[in-house]
Amino acid sequence: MASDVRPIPRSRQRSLWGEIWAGRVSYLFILPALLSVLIFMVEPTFSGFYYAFTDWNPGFQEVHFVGLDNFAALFQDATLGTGVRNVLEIVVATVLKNLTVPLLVAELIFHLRSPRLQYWLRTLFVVPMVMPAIAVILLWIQIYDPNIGLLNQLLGGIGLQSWQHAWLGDPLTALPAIIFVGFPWVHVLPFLILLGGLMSIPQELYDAATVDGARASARFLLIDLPLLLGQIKLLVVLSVIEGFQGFYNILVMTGGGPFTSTIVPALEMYFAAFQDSKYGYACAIAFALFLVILLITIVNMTYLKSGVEYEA
Amino acid sequence: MKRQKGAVGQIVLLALVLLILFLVFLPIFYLVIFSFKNNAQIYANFWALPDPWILRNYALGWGAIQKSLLNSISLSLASTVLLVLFAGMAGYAFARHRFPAKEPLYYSFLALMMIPTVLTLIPRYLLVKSLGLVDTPWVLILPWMAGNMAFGILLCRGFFATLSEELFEAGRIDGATEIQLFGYLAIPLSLPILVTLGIVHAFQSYNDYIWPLITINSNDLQVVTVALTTFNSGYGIIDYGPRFAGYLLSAIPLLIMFLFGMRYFIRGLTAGALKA
Repeated sequence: MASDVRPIPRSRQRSLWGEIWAGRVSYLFILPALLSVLIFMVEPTFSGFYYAFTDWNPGFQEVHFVGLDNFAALFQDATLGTGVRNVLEIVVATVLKNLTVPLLVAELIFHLRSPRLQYWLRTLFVVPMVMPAIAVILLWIQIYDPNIGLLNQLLGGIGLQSWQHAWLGDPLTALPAIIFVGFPWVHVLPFLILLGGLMSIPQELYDAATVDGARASARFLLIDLPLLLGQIKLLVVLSVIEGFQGFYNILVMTGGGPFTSTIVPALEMYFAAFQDSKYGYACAIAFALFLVILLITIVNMTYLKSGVEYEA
Repeated sequence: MKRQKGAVGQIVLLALVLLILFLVFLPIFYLVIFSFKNNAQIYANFWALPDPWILRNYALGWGAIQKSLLNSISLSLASTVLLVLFAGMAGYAFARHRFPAKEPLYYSFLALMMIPTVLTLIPRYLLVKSLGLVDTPWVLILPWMAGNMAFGILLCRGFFATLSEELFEAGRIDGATEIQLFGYLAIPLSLPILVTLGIVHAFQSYNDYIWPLITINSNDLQVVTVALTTFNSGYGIIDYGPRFAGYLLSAIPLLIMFLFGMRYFIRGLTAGALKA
């Protein structure tokens, strides 16, 4: 249109400073958010990066720049090797836990015919969220109690006394016990995401498949899974991040023991800082963890192809 | 014939679902029943129902965690209010204003969401220590707020962008300032999204364990998540009953939040997933 090309009169043009002044209210609007984030997120990120290359320890008077010494120490740390093996187990288990049972329950509920039943069942599966996470962990510590814990009592009750263990006290069972927490692993967030994904699949696809004579298993493999790929990819990324950086459940349940059977790098970082006061070394571990998470996230995002988009 | 076959399938589905549901609630049944027992009852007969039901356990448990529970609620609430206010303001500005560096600033905020908490835990601790915030309420309120700010701005901007400009034009014609437009027009319209943000954040901050553990030393200021782990050392309670009662009591604020805003809860959880 001709009016779009009408030049702006000189008097209406603004310099950069003019624009900034004109938008001063906007800057005011974003100022509190910006400040809080600069102080509590940006500063720690950069200073953490800096400290990783120092030997900061409150015992010493000065902070020295030690270059890659912390990272060299990392590679020579024997416990770290065990920690890496443990955390990889945990990551794989977390991905499996977040994908299998929630998907199973979502599918079961999805195939129920009564919407009212679906609504109430979905609500019931979400209710356990009201238990604070730490309370759940403490509860499971009780469940694992060798004498009066639910698990051993149950095993004894059905005649499997030989299966009873000191679950958290035995180096062989400690890590599996920690992984087992939360059984049956109907984790709420994956469950809701997957159920939501299933419910957004157009009914026509199922009708067409039934007309073509597809069995339930075929419908699951060829319709549900491909169309859920976006949600699955998201859950894989979230699970990997959660698996690598989560450590407070281990801290509370076993403290990394017995011996080093449940130690993970994130927990080592915690101990390095708050037991040994080796803040520089702790930051180096944090930074290394960050790189690993970043790498895996990038690999995940590019390797798992995007979900199939259905255009109506 | 087909109708019968379908019905059988439905019953099988339901049975499976109910079985899994039972397994989910089994630890919770264990928790509730044992919260009414004393140690003698537990050791005498594990599987028996409490006889008598020891209500005193709840009095003991409540006495132990009462202060920290109130701390959790008030600190969580404070950071939620601040977050909703500041993220709302910023989201509004990013959605409806024009100003230099708007795009780069917005994308910088989004980039923050990629930072895993493990990276900032130690440096943030060192920062608040040097700022002298340790053992104050602000050491919890401010980092909690900052941690979800980017997500909050994302949510709010998304919502505010959907409002029609005519509404605001009408307001401007009537002589309203930008701040008035925000307060009287934008905020009331955005209450659902603000409540959603608030619930997600309140839930997360209430559940936080590690940060209060390392930044709060005084028992008076401690939050309930940490207090629950000190039943032995902190309160000298070695009975299991009061401990279990404490675990249940700590769920009450979340239960209330859940009952009040279940759909916001669920909507917020799935919105939270879009964070990544």
